[in-house]
Amino acid sequence: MANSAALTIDCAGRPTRAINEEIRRAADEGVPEVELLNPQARHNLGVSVLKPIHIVYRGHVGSFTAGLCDGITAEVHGTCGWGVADNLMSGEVVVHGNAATSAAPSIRGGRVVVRGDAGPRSGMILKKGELIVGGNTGYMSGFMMQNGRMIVCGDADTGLGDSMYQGVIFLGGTAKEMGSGLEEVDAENGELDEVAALLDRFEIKPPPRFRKLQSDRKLWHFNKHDFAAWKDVL
Amino acid sequence: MCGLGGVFFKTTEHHRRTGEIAYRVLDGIFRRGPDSTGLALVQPAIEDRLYVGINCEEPGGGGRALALLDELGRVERATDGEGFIRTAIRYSGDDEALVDAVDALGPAYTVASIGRHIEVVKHLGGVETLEENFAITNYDGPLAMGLTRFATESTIDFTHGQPLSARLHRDLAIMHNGHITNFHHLRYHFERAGYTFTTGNDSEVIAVAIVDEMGKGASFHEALERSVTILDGCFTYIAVTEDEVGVVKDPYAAKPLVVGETDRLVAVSSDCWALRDGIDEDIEVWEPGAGEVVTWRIPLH
Repeated sequence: MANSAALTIDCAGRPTRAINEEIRRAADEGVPEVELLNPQARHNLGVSVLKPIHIVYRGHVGSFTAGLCDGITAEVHGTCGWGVADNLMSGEVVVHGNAATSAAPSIRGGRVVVRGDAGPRSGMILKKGELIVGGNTGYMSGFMMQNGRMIVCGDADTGLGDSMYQGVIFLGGTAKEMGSGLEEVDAENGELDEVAALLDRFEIKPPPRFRKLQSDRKLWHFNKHDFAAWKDVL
Repeated sequence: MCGLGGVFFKTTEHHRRTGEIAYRVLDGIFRRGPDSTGLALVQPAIEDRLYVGINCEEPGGGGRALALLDELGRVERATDGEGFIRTAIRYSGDDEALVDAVDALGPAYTVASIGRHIEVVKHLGGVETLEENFAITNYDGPLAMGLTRFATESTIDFTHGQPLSARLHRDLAIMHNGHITNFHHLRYHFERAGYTFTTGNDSEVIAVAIVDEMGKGASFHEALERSVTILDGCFTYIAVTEDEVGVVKDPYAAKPLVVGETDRLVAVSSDCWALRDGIDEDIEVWEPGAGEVVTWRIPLH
């Protein structure tokens, strides 16, 4: 039976495992929302929640927040440690501050939004789904992306989208250096309008223009005549 | 793995003792490095006082080392931590004579650090053994930066614990999380250039590289920047001199380190939770990027 009351958990002094078990139990029982007070930058909060629930983190969180989840929605009112929303299957995680290294690594679906800046390797090995970064993103972002979409409103550090297989990156600012095997293509009709509408939904100011980047597919197959490109990659 | 962390104050007013903050930060990152724990502290310069730390791998050998120091100068205070001896001595002689004399006690004895400002303390295990032996929470000076060591490249003992310094070089301590893959190559190069290494720890080469670059005229910040290209491997390290402190990340940003800065203090840690717990403040933190070097001046003390 659906439970309509929201749950509040004060994390202070409680073991992480007990907090996570309580969140999972609430999700299983159909509680619509759980609010976590005093996360105090603790790691692994809200991990492996596999039923729909809305998690509100009131404060800074540590590494692997909302990792290994499926079908949840979450908002983080603070900064995040490494690997937020690791391996998300579906759902939506919104970070209202900055995220450290490897935001949304290997996500297989859903959407991760970092309204501030993201650290190095954000969106690496993205398999499906979407990562939106309102600010700048760090070194090697989108590394080995296999599919999905990354939207970066600010600048990117070196190695953006290096060795990506498929998927697209929309870049609003400039990249200090593009990764290997990347090409710029024209956006399809209506695509940029859709991106703008999406950013508006998260109250992120869109940049004046976006460049659409994708794999040039030259690294898909080894070609000895193209040895110089491979040498550059390896 | 290894954990890095500590604090320095920009003001003389501290809401919590510097040593207490360092204790809490290092305790928070204990699991990143349970093998040994060490701290670099900044002390006020007093006439000809030298802070000398001695590695003593011979059980019960502390007395011999202290007797020697008392012969060379005058031991003002000393704590025999059974493996690491922390001393403050009055000494106006030559540093080389002192270091050579300690070396002459036998292979179990080496000078871990020597400084007019920088004092190093280290011990095996977690930060509580450091506290038991050296009462670090009583320290309330401007800076305490430390490391919890997870030994990967060299043995677990006092000599190979960190912070490390470069032999015969005063007032420099480094703490390193990661590994230097071109260590043997660099060590061979530096040994041919006349440097002597005290330990078999790959991290020691970082201190030597900094000393070498500064010897060629580089500023502290420039030396740290050059180290990013000289050193190969995964590293995040902290370097401390008597008036500057810097953090350095390798070009892959492979090892974590977050920084929290207010107008009163700068705190760093491998882990944001440990940092906030240490300074007891829900401070905004940021992480230096790939190949980034950040330095601060330690205010006059």
